[in-house]
Amino acid sequence: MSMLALAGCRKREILVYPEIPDIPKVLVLFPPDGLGDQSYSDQILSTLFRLTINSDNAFDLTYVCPSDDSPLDSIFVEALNQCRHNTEMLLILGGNDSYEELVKRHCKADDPVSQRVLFYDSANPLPVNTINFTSYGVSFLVGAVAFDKLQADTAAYLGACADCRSILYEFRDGFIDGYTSAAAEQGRTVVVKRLYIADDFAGFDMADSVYRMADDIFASSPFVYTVAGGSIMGLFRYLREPMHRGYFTAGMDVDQSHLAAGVLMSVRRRVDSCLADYVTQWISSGTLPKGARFDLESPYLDVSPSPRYADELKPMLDRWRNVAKQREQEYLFNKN
Amino acid sequence: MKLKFKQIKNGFHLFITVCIATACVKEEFKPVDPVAERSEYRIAVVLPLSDTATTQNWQHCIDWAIQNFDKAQQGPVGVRLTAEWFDEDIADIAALARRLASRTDISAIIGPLYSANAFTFAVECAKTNMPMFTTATSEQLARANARSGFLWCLSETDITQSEVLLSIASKRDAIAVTLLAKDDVYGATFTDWLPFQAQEIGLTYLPNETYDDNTLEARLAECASCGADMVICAPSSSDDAIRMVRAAQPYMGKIDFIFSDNAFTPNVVSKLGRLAEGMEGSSMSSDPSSGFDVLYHAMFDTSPTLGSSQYYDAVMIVGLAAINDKQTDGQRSFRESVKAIVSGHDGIGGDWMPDGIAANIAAVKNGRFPVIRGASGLLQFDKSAYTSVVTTTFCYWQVYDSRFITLDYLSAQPSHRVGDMLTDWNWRATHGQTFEDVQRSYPPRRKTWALIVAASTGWENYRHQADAFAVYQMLRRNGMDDDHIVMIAEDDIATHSNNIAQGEVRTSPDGANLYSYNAIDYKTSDLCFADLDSILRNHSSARLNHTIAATADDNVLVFWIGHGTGKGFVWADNSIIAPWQVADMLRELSYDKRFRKMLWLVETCYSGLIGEACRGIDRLLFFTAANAKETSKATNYDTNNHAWLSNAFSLGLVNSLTTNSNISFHDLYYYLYSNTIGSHVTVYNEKKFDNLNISQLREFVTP
Repeated sequence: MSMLALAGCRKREILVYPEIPDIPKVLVLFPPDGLGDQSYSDQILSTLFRLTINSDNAFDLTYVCPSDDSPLDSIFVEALNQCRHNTEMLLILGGNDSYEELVKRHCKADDPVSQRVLFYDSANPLPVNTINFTSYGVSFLVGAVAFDKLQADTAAYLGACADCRSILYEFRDGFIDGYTSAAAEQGRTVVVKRLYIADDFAGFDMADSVYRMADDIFASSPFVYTVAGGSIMGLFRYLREPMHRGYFTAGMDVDQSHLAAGVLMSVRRRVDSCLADYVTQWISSGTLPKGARFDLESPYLDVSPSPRYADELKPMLDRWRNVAKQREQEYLFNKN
Repeated sequence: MKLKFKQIKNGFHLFITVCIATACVKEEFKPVDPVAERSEYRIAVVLPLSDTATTQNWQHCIDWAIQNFDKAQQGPVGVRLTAEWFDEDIADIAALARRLASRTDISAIIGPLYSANAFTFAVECAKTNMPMFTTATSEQLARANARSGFLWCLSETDITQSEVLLSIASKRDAIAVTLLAKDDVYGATFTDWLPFQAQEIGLTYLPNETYDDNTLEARLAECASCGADMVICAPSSSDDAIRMVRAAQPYMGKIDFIFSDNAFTPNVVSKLGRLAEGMEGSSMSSDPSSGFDVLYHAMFDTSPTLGSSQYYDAVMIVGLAAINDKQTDGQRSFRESVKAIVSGHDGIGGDWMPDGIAANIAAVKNGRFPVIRGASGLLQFDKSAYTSVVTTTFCYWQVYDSRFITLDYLSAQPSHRVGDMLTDWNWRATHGQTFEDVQRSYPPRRKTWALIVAASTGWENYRHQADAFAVYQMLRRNGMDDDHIVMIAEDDIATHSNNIAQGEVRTSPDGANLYSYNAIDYKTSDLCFADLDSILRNHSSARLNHTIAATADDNVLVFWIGHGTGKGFVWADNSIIAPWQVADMLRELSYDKRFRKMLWLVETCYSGLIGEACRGIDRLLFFTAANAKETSKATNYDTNNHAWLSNAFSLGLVNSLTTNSNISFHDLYYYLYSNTIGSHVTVYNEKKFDNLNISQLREFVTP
């Protein structure tokens, strides 16, 4: 009896292991060799990862960064299949023409899976959710401020290629219009040279060639606006050399002021913030944008001055920002 | 006693169960940490902990890997990794190595960082088969322990970094390069390989001497003034890098300097201040496509440092090996479990993040071993040696605005190697010689004589005497008698106290015994260079009672093996035999018609120096293991005897003669050239000799 009483006083411990909740998954498919770009791919990964740590809306982040020679088709189909089998999964991809082709080939607008695919940085109609960033307004702003700062009769636009990507036209036109508008305001006529690195996509990855071209380019133009992916690194290398002080360029996509003293300002395209906002929205409401387009009015696009030039350039940027916004609307209206 | 205790415990358990079944029970839900209940696998981490900033970084990596491994498992059944830290910067590293290698509660050791310390640990870990993961990049460490089954190098060796530095030089339009490296184990890899690689890449290499603590500044000045466009600096420490940059100031702007990974530390930038601006170099990094660097920065708000991603991967491999160990109930040793993980062959597996680790754990539990996508890159190890990862990513960095910026990511060209899957020391030459048809007529050969010289002494030079014995045995097998072979060797290895096979000498761990006491005519230390002249001239004496009595109708083979420097052969007493001394001797012998034809087969570093000096001497041919700027390479390390057993050129020579003694000199050259790793086998003086397409080695290795 005493034994029973003793036993009766005992507590029965039931071991409880923490439940592992099913949480949404976000799978990001980066452009081939995209990570390590010290630009927007790295920033997207960083921002989404921070979101997994800090967000109230928990989610698992996975990502794939194929190499240049990977079979993109099978990688994309596998990612799409994962998304099909897990209704709590969001697939994010973009920044690459090959992915656009794959989306067109494998996705249908009425397929429920397509509603959970978010494609960034495409102006083309695709059967999935897309977000796009205009480039005219920021480029106009760069051009106008570059003239105000340098007062040079000649500037140069350096594109990866002339016609390989239609998005480059916006950059080119915006910069030329900005530079010439600022000069016209002072009653001056200027020349903006149009230069191209290659005839095709190779121009996005030819940093060494750009380094070699830099002497000739800067001989007549103290400012070069470069829209050429990783090739811009060749220009930065040239500008870092002490004998090349006095030549300038603009960083692209992220703040690149730390890469050379000649980076006057940087075009900031906050694709990462935009994606983070949409991931949060998707987790909380299950919705995504259909064909969202962001221009200079949005919080995701701007031009920021490099710290060493901030005092001088900030007023210039503020003065031209509204003009750039207005001119961008006109440009897009005429384009459409 | 143990069994009794268990029975009591079980009895008590049964009693309680009965009571609970019959009594009223108050239930209490107790939250349990499932991780705490998993089987512990302890890792010893041995790294230099004096630099607190870098140590914190490494601790981040190890802890993060452990956390992610915990997260990748569910429930209480699984493995729990723990890390125990040890400072590499202690006086008695050997004692620490012995202690850790013999601890049975440690599953694996990560570290040490420095090559010399890693060597010390490797010796001890070899004895106990303790798995050891290192980022030390000495080529000799990796090559010596290849296939030994306990050492795993998580980056390619500095052979690859040397290649990366040269490719940067090439990209920067350099035409002539030189090297500033220390006379130590770190500098040795660069000294051994960079001249060879420069020739392969098409750059001119201008040799300079290595530096020591007293000569760094002087050597740098010599490098800067030697006519090179670029000085490749391989500082053995960050302090050396700082001294180099300061010493290089007068030459900045006139010549380029590029640095190896030891300059890639925050310490260099902070101590040099503005002098560091513009410094460039290379360092191993993570593969950018793994995203490790980005996530590390996002997680810890600082950049990863040297070896961060590799240490993360080491923890992950140990964890997966532990899963495998549990699956097999400990029926295989832990190192075999590690080997199963790193020899993955079931496709590409998961990555280094928790989901990826979970996928890899699931695969291992199902008996599948995929290649893991690690934080540092694909963890694909060499399929024959397993010891080293096949591909490492290097960053090309520059100091700008007081911080390191990455200009590019680079990896070596695996096509240079024997096979794409092989480790980096398997790099064979591709830029060979061509030979003109030379028409010579000779009288019929009467006899063949041979002089075999093992010029070094001591256990550490085991390979020289072993190869000399291999050549001797090959000649005997071909029918040459002892009277026609003069052999000079110190004879101090067969019975050396280090030799675990007393009285035996081999050129490979499982090879035949080559030792023959009767073969040796002279101890090397009893002779000097002048004695060799006497032996070749048949000037016999009471002291030199076995000489070469060759006539104008006899062929003479000389096989010389030992050390060489940029100044000539090194003799047993460390004296130098200058190339001109050898050339003068041979010129006189040729003039005096002391041979019909003479062939020198030379295995020393910089052996091409002698060949170059002997150009123009009639009826003489030189085959050298390396050209005048290169080192030759040891091969076949015996982890039991702790000695290199052979040399690449000599091993190839004996192998080719054993399989086909009728081989023409032309074919022999191409065989040796394409099978000697890490140096350019070179032929000298063929125009004064004979038609290499027709004449055969046979006339020098048969009676």
